[in-house]
Amino acid sequence: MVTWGTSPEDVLPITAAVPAADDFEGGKVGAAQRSLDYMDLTPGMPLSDIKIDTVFIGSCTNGRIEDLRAAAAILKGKKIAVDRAMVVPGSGLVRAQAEEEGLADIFKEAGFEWRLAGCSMCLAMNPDQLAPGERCAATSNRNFEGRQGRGGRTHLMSPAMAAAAAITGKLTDVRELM
Amino acid sequence: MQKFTQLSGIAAPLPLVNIDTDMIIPKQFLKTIKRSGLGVNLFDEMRYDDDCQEIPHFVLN
Repeated sequence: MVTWGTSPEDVLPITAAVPAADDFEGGKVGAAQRSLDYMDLTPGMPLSDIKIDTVFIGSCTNGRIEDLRAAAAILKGKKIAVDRAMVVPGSGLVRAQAEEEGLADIFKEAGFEWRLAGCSMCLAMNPDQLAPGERCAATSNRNFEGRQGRGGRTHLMSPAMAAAAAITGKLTDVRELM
Repeated sequence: MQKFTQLSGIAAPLPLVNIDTDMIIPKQFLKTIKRSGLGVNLFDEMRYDDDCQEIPHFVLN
């Protein structure tokens, strides 16, 4: 599952296509059109054709040790095909455990930045921000307009799916890499 | 305590569904513990253009 819009409810299977505003009813028609314009997506385009610039794994949401294990299992021995990728453990304890288990090395060898626990790119209150138009595969919990930086475009997904997107440079069905 | 039945005031229509918290006030303006002074950034991203000038057709401008 990945999000295509600017609310966590705007979600579809990775095998689906970008919806059209007319697929919705009532006030949702205008909301969907606004989302499509903001996200710069064309209805009917397969979600798996959407190119990604940045991958953000972790923060308080989806930064558990299990999440890092799931992402590292996909990334092991691979290199990222995106401009930048970062992983932010959910806590200092998780970070220490991930280093002990060798997960940190897998992330770093793949090209990820191995960051300290914190909010990072979840909410753009610090220098970790998207530029206008930059598109991000994120495991955080909000994809609102401007959430990761003014004009930034966020697709929410699981840690394993974000890892898959990092390897291919586009939204990807992680099952194809397993 | 008086029962709340009616609120009178000036309404500003904003016909959108899912008006989220980042629209109401972007998080970069929430680095305060005061309860005042936040109004100038209400709906900031819809209200001002890239040069921080008011967008005339936005309902609060």
